[in-house]
Amino acid sequence: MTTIPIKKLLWMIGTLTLIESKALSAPISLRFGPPGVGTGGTNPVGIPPSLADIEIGYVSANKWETNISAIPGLFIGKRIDFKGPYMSLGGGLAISANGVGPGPYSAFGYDFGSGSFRFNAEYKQAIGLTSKGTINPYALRIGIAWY
Amino acid sequence: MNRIQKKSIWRYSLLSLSIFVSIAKASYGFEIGSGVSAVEDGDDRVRPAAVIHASTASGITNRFLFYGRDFGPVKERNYVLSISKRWDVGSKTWQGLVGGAVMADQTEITFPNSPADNTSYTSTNFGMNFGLHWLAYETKVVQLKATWDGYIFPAGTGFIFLANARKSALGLMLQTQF
Repeated sequence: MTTIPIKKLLWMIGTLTLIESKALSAPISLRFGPPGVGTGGTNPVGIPPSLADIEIGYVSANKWETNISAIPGLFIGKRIDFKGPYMSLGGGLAISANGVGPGPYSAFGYDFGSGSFRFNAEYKQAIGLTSKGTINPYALRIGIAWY
Repeated sequence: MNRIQKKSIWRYSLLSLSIFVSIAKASYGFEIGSGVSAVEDGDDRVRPAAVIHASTASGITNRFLFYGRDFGPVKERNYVLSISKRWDVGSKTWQGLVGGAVMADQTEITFPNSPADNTSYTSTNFGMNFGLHWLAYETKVVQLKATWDGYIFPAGTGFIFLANARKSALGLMLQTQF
């Protein structure tokens, strides 16, 4: 019986994504910040940050972005760039302590500075539809954008 | 609502309006509207709210969100005022807003049999407003907009570690321009 080398495949996809991104000068962002999980406000960010505090974002050359985080969730959307400030709108899978469901997201961010590494701050809000109603996870995060 | 609370509401309202009117005077157009919102306070519970909206042609936008509820002797009132800059996002039907916001959350407890124990308190905070508005329908006179606003408020010194509170308002609004 043959086994699929999942780990090797993931590493390969990750490496290719990084190379492609770098070649096209599209940013990969690593952001840290506490998420709003639907139980009131947020807790302070963990030191070191927990998995729930981390988000990875990737923006393609034609300004489509992919965001991966435990909370507010997994999203694909279009970024509108204003050379520093930006807005994003799209959809995906919203995740909070009260459930998981599909829905839209919007984000407002800023890439400060110039060069390969820039300081990034972003507020992202999402709405997810679940069988019990809507969930409204969000996160205010800061980090680094690698161009 | 006691006199102190009334004063604070009027103070914020007047401050916001005076800033808005002074900017609007320098502008060449005006837009006013009102509507309903579903507000979420960070706990995934949605509450009905009313919203008043005014904006200049140059995109300076002033919004006042009001909601509350009564539980027997407990009365809650929540007010959020924001002044934001608005701009077109990709097309004229989509608009983004970023600006400042001030919030007043008021709680009043009344004891009918023991008025001396009546109590009230107001929690005030300053934060930021991030909004996304969509022009869903328009005639020559009115426009219908779907709005999605987020209000972020720092949680005191905990904001050093990004601790915050958030209000989200999803709404429908009718407006007119002149």
